[in-house]
Amino acid sequence: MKVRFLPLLILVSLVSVHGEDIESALKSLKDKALAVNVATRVLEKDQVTVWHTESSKVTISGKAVSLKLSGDNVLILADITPYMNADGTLLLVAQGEVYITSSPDGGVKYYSTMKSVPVKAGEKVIFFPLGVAFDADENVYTIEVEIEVLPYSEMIKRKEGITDGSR
Amino acid sequence: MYRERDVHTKDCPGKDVLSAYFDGELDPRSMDQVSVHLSGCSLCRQRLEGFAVLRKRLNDVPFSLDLVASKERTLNLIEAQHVLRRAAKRERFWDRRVFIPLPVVAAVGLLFMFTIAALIVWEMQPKTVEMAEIKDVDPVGPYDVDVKNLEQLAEFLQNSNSTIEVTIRLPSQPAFFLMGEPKLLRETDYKRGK
Amino acid sequence: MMNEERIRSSNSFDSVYEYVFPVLMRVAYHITEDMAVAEDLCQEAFIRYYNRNISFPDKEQAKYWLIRVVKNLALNYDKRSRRERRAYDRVLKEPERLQTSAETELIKKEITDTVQKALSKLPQKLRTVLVLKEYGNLSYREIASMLHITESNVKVRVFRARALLEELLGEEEIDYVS
Repeated sequence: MKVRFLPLLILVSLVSVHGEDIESALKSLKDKALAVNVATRVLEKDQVTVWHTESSKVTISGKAVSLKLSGDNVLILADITPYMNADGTLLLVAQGEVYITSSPDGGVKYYSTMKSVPVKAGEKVIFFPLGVAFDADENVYTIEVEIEVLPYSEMIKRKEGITDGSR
Repeated sequence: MYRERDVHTKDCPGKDVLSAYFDGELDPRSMDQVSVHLSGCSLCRQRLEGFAVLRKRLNDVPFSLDLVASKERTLNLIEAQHVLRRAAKRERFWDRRVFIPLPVVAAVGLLFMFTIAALIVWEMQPKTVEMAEIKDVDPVGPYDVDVKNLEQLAEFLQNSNSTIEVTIRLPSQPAFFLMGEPKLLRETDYKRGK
Repeated sequence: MMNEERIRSSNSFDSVYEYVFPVLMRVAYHITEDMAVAEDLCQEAFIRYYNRNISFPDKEQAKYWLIRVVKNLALNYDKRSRRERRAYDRVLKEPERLQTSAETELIKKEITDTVQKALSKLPQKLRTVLVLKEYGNLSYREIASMLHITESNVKVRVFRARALLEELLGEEEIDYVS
């Protein structure tokens, strides 16, 4: 695929010059890089968060951030690929595979999904790998993966803003 | 001095001649002759009128044509034959649900991933198969690439683990169940739905 | 790489399309009596026109070429049993048809118009010539060249078609009244 190849070419040139790992190489392309912030949460009834973790990765338009969520009976693989247009609008393509065992028979259920959503920088998108029940009852726990894409330069500003504010 | 005739005489042109006259398909001299004849023959005029009425009726056949929409479709067909379909107006969702015995999971998963990728890349024609379409995005680059040779590039691509991975270990408690189809929603849409 | 902008910016394609397509549709429709099929055939004709990339000196010549293509397509279509074809197409095409709601406007499944009914009763040779004349607005010479017959043949067929049509319409009206 043409679009994906170009970032790899850039990486090649950067790696051969700097000998660094990919993340640093991407960080040096400051104005092209995109920050993908992922907040993974487990919610119980009434959207109360009972567990969460946050990750942030730097990528480039057209290069996926691969997410792997593994639990005792569930494995979720999600590739999140942001694309940035010249006018700054973003397209988020999320490609997911969900493997889940249902206890009685031990068989594995599998879903694959693919969806593209146009977003603005900083606009959050939520991926529910196991679906979502809006009228949830007591024992239902929802996995929610909140994705936010920002230009890397914006991300830096945000971090600096927090640092300043906390003083 | 003309006297209007109301019966056909041997001077009247045959109906087929009148038909050709009606279409303007006689030679110029014959056209003139018939014109002259018509000015003094109401029956032939009536016959001619009959052709005109018929023509009008044929053209009055109800016919609704949305030219703009149809041109759009034709251009799309032309384009679809040459390029990947552009600018999807709506997003689509592709679901697959399969029961697989545990040992086969990994191999099958890989196969599905490749199938998805292949379908996206090679999708050339608009189809009714519901599938997410990638909107046309601005290409990244071109950048100047400092690569010494293709071998170096190939080697790099082969050896490097160039994926950006996030691995998250989910808690053992609670146990998770499938609640429905996976969903990807904008935060605003999600909040509205609650 | 071809793109929509390139197709559209080529003025001749756009203007030929706008001028000829309605004519083409009528010709195709009155031969096949099926709007959906007619549209398909007309699109096919324009796709061929685009792909051949012929530059005609004027729109009339382009029109002639396109009518000839659609006439051939339509007559080939017509050869198969109409009912058989409709059933076949309905099975194959229906999912696609349901996709675009704009198309439902174009689809006329039944021939309700008296004139169209009468037209469909004409023998194919007469109907084709009349359709080319009345809907294609072609000259006798153009029709003759397109159908590989003489101009005088065209003249006779047009006349016979008209005479027969008048007769059929006369009958239809009587039936309708009674």
